[in-house]
Amino acid sequence: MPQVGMAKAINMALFEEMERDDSVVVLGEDVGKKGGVFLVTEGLYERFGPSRVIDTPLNEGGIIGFAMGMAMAGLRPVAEIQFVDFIWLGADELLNHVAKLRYRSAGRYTAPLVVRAPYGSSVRGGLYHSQSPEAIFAHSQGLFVVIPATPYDAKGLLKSAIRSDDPVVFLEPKLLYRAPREEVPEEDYTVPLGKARVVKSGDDVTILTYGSMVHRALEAAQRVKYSVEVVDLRTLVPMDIETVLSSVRKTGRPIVLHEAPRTAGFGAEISSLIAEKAVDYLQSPVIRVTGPDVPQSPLAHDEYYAPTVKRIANAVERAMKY
Amino acid sequence: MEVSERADIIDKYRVRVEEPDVFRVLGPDGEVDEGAMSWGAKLSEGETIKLYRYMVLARVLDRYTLMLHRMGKVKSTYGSHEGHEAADAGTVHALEGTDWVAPYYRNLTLVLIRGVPLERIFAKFFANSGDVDMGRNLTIEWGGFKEWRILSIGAPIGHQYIYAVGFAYALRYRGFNEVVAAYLGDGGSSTDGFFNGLNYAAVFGLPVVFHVYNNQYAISVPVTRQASLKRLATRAAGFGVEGLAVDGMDLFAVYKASKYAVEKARRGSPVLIEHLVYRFQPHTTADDPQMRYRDPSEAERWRALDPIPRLERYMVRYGILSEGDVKSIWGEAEEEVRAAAKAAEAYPDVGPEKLVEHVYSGPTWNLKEQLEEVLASL
Repeated sequence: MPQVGMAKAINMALFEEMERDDSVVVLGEDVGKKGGVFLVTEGLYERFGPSRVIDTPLNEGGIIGFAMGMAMAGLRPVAEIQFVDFIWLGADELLNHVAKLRYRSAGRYTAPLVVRAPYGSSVRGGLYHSQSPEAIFAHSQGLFVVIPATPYDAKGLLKSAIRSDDPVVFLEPKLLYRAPREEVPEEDYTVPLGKARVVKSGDDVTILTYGSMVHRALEAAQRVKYSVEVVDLRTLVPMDIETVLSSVRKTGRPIVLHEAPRTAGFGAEISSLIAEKAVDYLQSPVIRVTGPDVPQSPLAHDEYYAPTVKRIANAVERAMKY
Repeated sequence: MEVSERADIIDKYRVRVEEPDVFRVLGPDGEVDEGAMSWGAKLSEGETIKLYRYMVLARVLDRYTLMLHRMGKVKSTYGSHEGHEAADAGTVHALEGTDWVAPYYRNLTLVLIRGVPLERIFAKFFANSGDVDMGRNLTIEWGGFKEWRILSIGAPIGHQYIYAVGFAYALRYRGFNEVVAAYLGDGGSSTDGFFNGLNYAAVFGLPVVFHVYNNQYAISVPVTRQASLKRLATRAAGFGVEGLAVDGMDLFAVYKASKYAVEKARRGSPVLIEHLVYRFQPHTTADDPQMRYRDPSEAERWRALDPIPRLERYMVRYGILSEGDVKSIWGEAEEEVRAAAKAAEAYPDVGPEKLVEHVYSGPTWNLKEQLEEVLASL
């Protein structure tokens, strides 16, 4: 089995899905001969040609609207938005049309597309190559929102997303594109949407997180003297509430961790669900560890905009000392 | 060195745009311009009568719906398409039955000609269980008329141009020889969807005909605020797309231009047609009924070009229909509309359990939970 990073794992998923099903097409800016600015679509153009690996005019509304029409006609387009920060030009297409299509047509039309986009900070991206807007998609009824944390999951989740009959926003933590690497099987496998993963089990504190923060949570777990459970949500919509609640009921001390800004972030939703469904089990308040409510992420502050291992470890201490 | 003002030095580097005249076949008095009539496809007498009947039916339906709205029977605001009937009839008749349309909202005649039964349309206006969209949309947001090869739209208009183009890409990819006709108003021609639609169609050489209904107003804003051009069709030139301007209240001009455009589009060259029409009624029932933003004398001038009386004058003048025929066609339409409204009223309400259906392909735990909570309080 090859040791690969997340970018390569996603590339493998695209390649295999395109081999498997000729309704799968890839479109976006620089996805063709260049193979994408992060090389995620490398080699696809050479193998599948320009009718299936489509370089588009530079307009995200065009990319998403074009993909929507393809999906309505039965194709399975995978649209790449070069950085999620640029997706807003296509917000109307995505949030008002793609997301609501099934509902407004009472199931007669669907748009089973995947919008892939690198997201997240800690790569010296400044204000427009660093954003984490997952909460906005999660708040737009009709979209699935998927965020992988490992190469293995990225391949399996993307395959599920492509095969899903619901439109999926697939956010790729670009910090993880090259490392860490892990063994990713070359054969076909999927990871189901809507299922979280207990990455490390523990008894004292639960850290609920996703994306690149999974790795920081694991590091923090090793620095503290308590037994920490780390749950990788993998899918924000639909959320695996059972796994979240059973972990919180076990430890009684939930920490919600994400790099996106705090106010009205997805952590607020998780916290609220815990308050509604597991308040009797709590031994500490729900603690949020997140990016601050400033534009994500100013270059000069890039090293500590997203929660650091130390901040996470401090939160564990606070939870235990409550 | 002296500065030269000689125009010929710079002239060949200057973009030249020539704005088109407006193509018209049928004069206001119903007289045919034989030169114009000799160009392109020609409607047979039978086709003309058939389309005329639909135009009358749509006009009656439109007026009747406004009346029902005043009676409080229409569940949401309603936007009349009065003045657009010939544009709808001519554009949609130029398509094959297997072709697709991506309408905007003011396309009632089109929806009828595509075959959507009157009863379904009324059920939609009443938002009851007879509506194929399950009562989710405003009256003229055509959500789920897929059976009639009508793509889905919602109120944020413009984007239907770009997804129509993506749809056309998929049709071609699958080897179908079908065309997509996409519609917008003058206001819509200022949206991203318009620009993306034209640009993507041109760049990929896709079988799409773009119709712009220039009815002079986007609610209250005149078309002069949408573009600093005499004709919206001129915008096509910027995308390398052929543009045509036609009198959209002249069935023959619309049909000829559309037929030409459909054939050209089918060969992979998109075409844009601007239809000059007038929105005789307010934007919707929520608009100022007096329309104080425009001069009443303007509507009177346009009324002389009203597509339906114009076609009637033509048919009577050339002996295709008698005045008696015309009268009975109106009478039949009224009966048909009244009967359909009555039938549609009989459908029960949409059940509250439908609230959470079709958000996703299957139920999710949170929707189940939320539905239970809503139902428990009803």
